Amino acid sequence: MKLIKVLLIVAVIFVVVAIASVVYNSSNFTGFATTSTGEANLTVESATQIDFTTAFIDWESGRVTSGDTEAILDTSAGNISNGNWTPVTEGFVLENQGNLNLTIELAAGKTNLTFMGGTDGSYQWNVSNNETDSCSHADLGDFEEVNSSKIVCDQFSSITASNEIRIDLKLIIPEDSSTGALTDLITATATAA
Amino acid sequence: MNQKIIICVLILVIILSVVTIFISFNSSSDNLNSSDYSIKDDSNSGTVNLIVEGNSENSDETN
Repeated sequence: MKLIKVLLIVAVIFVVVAIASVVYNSSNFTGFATTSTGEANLTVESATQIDFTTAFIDWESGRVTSGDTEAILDTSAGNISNGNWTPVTEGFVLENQGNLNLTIELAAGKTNLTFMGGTDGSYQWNVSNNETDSCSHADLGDFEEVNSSKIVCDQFSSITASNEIRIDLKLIIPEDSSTGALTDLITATATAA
Repeated sequence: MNQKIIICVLILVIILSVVTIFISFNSSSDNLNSSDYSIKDDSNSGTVNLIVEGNSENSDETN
């Protein structure tokens, strides 16, 4: 008789716990109607992917016009001042091809001194939206001296209609600059925002 | 005889309760499949090229 009492108490405890666990794990039921459910599983991967869809800026060959102290090469204006280089009318275009909003860090391989040398030269970039609302950042649309590491976009959108930024360059080439073939690499690094 | 039947029923109830608890907790962990994700960094580069010819004023000076 005593064993039955003990078993009865244990059984009651287990039944209560079982009922509680069932209720807890089906907390979204709405009534007593009988339902049957199917389960669909999938995994949506997140991808961080950027690409320079315009990856080359090539002003070809030229020099500072005789009598001028400097020449200005500007991709945003699309013209050349005081020189005979070939105008470039489009800056780099960087596209977010993944499905995450990204933080973009730009890095120039050289400074104005190591790139073209001379006195009072300047090597500047200007980040702007190539598609509306692609990016928001305080310095958007302003030319500034290039940097070896600078975050230029905090939230680079992955939405197809708003996923392109443009990086224009302006070179102020002094009359005493280095001569010959000059080249530099601009690197964009993306991380999930 | 009656006591044995009652004991068997109670043991059966306990076993069924334990099985119910086990299944219930297992099914709750099955709902976490969609949280898989992969995040990685990416980088890409653009190239700037130009050629600076011997500037005329430099040439004048050398001449």
